[in-house]
Amino acid sequence: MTISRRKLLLLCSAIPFIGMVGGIAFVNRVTPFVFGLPLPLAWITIWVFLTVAIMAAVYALDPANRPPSGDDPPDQIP
Amino acid sequence: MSVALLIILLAAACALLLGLAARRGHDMDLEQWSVGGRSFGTLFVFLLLAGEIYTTFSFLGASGFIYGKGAGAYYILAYLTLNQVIGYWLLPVVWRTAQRERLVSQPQFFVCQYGSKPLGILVALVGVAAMIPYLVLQFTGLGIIVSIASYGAISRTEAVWMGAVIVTTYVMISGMRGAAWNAVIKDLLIFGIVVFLGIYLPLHYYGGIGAMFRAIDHAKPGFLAFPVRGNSVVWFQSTVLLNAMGGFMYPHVFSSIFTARGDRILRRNTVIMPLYSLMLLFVFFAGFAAIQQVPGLTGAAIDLALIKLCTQTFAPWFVGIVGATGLLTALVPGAVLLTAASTMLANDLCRAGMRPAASNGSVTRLAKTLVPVVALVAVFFTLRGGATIVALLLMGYNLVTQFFPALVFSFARRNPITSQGAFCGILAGTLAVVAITLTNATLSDLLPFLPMALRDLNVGLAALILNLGVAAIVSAATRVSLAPQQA
Repeated sequence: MTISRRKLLLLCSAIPFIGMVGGIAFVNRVTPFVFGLPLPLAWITIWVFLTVAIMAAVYALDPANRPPSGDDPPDQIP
Repeated sequence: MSVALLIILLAAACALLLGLAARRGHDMDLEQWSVGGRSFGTLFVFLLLAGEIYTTFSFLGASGFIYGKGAGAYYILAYLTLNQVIGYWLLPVVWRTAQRERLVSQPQFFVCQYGSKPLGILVALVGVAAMIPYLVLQFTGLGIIVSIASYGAISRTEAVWMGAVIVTTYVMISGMRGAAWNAVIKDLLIFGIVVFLGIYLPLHYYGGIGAMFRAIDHAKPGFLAFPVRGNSVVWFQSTVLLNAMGGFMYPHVFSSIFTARGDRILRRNTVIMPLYSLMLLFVFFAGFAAIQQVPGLTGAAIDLALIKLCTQTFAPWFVGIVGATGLLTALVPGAVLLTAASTMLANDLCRAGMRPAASNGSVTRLAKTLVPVVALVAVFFTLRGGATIVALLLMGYNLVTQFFPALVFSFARRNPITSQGAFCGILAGTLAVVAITLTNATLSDLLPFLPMALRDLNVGLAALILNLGVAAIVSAATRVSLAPQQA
């Protein structure tokens, strides 16, 4: 069960690639300016935020980050 | 003595003292020195890995690239983001292997995964060859920033020597801990400076960021989107994918990964890091602002755009702070590079290749002795100079990307690649990169039958495909020849 969930999350991680790298082909013109930015730069910037949102969701749903399996050793002063 | 010079020298002294103080309370054995005893938490790991995003290349190089080439530079923001997505899945498994086997370097990792010593030696050789130009680039950037920001009071040569002596001294004494403590100051400074410059410069010269883009679009139509040829959409896509794969393959990045004390720290970092790389947006803004304010820079001089605009815009004390930031921006990655390169030379070439019986203690002593040697080699290439540095850096990047297939496949439940396959694949890819770089070949030279639209594909792809092909063939061949013996 946990394995298939991780595979699903791995697939979700492909979305930023498709959006940022694949999508750029459809927005390659300077105008319209979005938030004052040229369209391709705005596209990439929006996808940076979307990537963080997607990966934050992946982190939250990833069983590897639940207490017993992923063990953080006690805090130490570096 | 000018205010700017005073501030730069003060920052240099602080960096040295902080780097030396980082040793306090720790016995510098091999694991402490090379990977900080695997004890760093979220903040330090974040700063060490973020140090990769904000090297002098992104500070000067990204703004210079924007200034000279326009939209092409957007690729940096895109690959840094996607690189982290790959990192989310890759870094924890790399870290767990390193933790279990107490690894201190990248070649050891390959030895461990494939059980092959020759593979480790090859990875060490390619890794050092890729790191030297990276180090040279840091020193070159340092020379540019410090000499211009001190209004010429410190010459480029003097700046390079100053930086090299400081970083060598604290690396020899504190290793990775020295780099980590300096990273704290450096990232606070660069965060502030970059955001300020990216907002203030467009506002001051154009009345705002939107107004600046409208003005540039008016003066240079099409400059803000990808051109049809050259740095085209296809070039962007292939370069982003290649660099996203290669981003974590530098040996010194592996060292930074090994410093983490848990795998969740790494995952958390890769989730947040893209937000931090958004700061590049502000570097872009500053680079765009320079286009109409310091016109006429061409060739290698485009790297001077940002710092020249600063001296033209601000009072000396502020230019001094920018110069100090530039100094630290070079020193932190420089320290990590020096530590990783010396560890690899001592541990993975000398010990693995010649004296397998050497103790950890003697390897540590040898690694520390090699620090000034590596630094001197880098200073030599820096001062010899020339336009070849960018070419060397691109070569370095393409070189380490050759590790990616063998690394990823080594985590497969049934690895399709044998150790011989990995060895031959990496060797073939490496030789292809060197040949492509030396002959300046493009993909359309190599494959003239390619359709027009695909001619701007990054030529590094060719080397990677060759690598995969050779690895597959050799793996198949060695499996067949091994099969009867195993049966």
